[in-house]
Amino acid sequence: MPGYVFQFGLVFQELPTLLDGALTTLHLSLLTLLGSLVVGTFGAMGRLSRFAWLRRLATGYVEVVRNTPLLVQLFFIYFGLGQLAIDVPNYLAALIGLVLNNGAYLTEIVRAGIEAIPRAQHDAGRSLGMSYLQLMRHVVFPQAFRVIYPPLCNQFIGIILFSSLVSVIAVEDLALKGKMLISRTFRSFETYLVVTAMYVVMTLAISAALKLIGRRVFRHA
Amino acid sequence: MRVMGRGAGIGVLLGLVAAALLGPPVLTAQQQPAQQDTLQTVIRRSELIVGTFDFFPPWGFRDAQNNLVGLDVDIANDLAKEMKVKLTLVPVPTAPDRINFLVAGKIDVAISNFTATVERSKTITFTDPYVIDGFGVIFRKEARIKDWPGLNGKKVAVTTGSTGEILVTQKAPKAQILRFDQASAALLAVQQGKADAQIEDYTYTVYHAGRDPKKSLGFIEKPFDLNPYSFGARKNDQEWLNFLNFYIYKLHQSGKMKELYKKWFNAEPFKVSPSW
Amino acid sequence: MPNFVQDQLNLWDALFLFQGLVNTVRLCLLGLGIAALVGIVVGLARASRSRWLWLPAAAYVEVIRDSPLLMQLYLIFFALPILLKIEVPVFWAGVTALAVNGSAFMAEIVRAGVQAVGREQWDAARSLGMGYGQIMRWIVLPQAVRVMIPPGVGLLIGLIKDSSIVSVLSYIELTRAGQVLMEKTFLSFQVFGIVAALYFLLCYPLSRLARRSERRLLIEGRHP
Repeated sequence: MPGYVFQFGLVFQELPTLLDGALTTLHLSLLTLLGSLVVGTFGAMGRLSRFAWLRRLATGYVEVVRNTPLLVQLFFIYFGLGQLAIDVPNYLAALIGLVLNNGAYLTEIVRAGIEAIPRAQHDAGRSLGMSYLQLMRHVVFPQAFRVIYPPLCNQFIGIILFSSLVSVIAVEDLALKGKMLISRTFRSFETYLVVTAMYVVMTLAISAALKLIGRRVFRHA
Repeated sequence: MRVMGRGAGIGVLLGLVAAALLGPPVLTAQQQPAQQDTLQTVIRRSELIVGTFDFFPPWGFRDAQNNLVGLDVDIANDLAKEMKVKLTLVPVPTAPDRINFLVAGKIDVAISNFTATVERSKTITFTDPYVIDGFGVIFRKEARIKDWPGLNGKKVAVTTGSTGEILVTQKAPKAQILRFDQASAALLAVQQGKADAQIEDYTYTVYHAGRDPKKSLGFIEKPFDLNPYSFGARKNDQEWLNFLNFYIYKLHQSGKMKELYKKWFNAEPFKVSPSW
Repeated sequence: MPNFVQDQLNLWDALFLFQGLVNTVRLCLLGLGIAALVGIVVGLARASRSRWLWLPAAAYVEVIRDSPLLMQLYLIFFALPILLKIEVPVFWAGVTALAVNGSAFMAEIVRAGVQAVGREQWDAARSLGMGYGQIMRWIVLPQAVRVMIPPGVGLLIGLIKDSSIVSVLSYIELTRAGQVLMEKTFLSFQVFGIVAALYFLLCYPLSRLARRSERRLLIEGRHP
């Protein structure tokens, strides 16, 4: 388009609004991480269970989620369940959608972590008279967490980026605040550039921090 | 060396971002926007590209066969016929995207129940009005909304970037606003009880309260603040704007506008030029 | 007043969904093709020893992997015409966004594949008098490709799911087709149930394929 005049001033004036949205993105992502860690842990225990029906249930969950888009899942939870008169408020719908989605990926990550613990340790724990839960709690999880920490960090970055989709169900995250800003200033290009830069800075800062923590706590290289 | 790689990459990237943020305005701030001639462009490519909604019955929506139809679509067809060119309809995803699509050169003209406002006129330009419409409220009957102040404390669904979104913050500052990309998604939220009411153009509320199969929706039976619907065009495109205004004059003068309005609303349109 | 209440899905709607499905496949195959080409170049640059090659490649991969596809799509669609003065139709904006996003992941796959080939093989080939191109062509790539296939299929699955984001530009792919039907009939439960099932039918066989042709690398892990 000839003669487009850039005006970043308008966008920078509204930086507090965007930061407000970024905060929503952050707490939504953090809650998602915690929630999906719980779902993922149970999912992984299901995947590795002695009971065939539990294994099948967990596998089915993982396959359905991993083979459908998050956007469709969000629409289904918000509007689809709404048609059946199950009303899920928008923030909660976004959280449930993100947790169920990432829970499936974490199921696989946690499972890989548990499987990385040698069989011999299970047997040793058993021979000490530990129950399944005690074994998991004191022997397996502490070690598995060390293994899953790097992919977990990776997944957290993914959660932040993909949480931008919740703007379609009226959650005022960074992406929706950007759209609202555009509707007031009509500076779409400038706004999208600033919002994208904010996502990049956010994810880079967080992944650097997580790496530092990992190095301190787990002595990861 | 490779461990350093990520850090160095980040440095380069931040430099690029900074350059992108600071560079362009300095370079182009002094440039004069060039004159355009969309009229000639349309005639030369013998194709008219019109931006319209595909989610806003009865102005622009998809019928049982999923073709784009509606009052605005009829007008777009008529305009292309008048110009003897082929018509291409581009569905515009959201209200602010009408402006984005125009500015980015995706469409030649926006015919999409586009309310002309001063704010929007800072970025694009509007033709003379072809229709007058007001604001309306469509609500769940059980929410017992009687007037605009009654929206306070209620959950109100709006389309992000619509004129209604701005209005609701003025008329009912205590309303809890839910923002959706499309008017139809906002309406769905009202139907499913996720919101108590929706603010939209008056004709939209009349139309949807009438077609609601469950008869659970009502609307405030008086339009607020009549506003012009215009075609949207790019700035500095005077010949094209003149032509579109001339076309709209003929649309009124030939009676075609009244006829189309009757077809879609079975009613007389509000007077575009009142005889005061 | 003509009434357009449509409270059931009809045959036209089934066709419409099918058309959306076809468009999704077109978006993804073109996106994957371009992503593979760009990804191989970037990935080789990333695996190279020259600072001037791997630094820009690393920056490219980082920026793309650290920003949302949604924003990349908006920027490609709205910013390219303004910056480069080229017109980008919706379909090609979608293909470009998927290709750009996919190429960053592809580059990582290629890098992992190339680096999986041991240093001693390079040295051996060098001592036989082979050049960089020859070594790549005859020794590294044939081995690397085998390692790359499973995560490559994983990437395709990721692209199919990601292509749903192109719906925000009103391009009629599967998700947007579903939205249109939902907006028309308000049958959100049925419509999105069907849409999800169609995505599943598209992706599940590919998942099986990827798993059978070996373990999926963690590179796919970032694609919800």
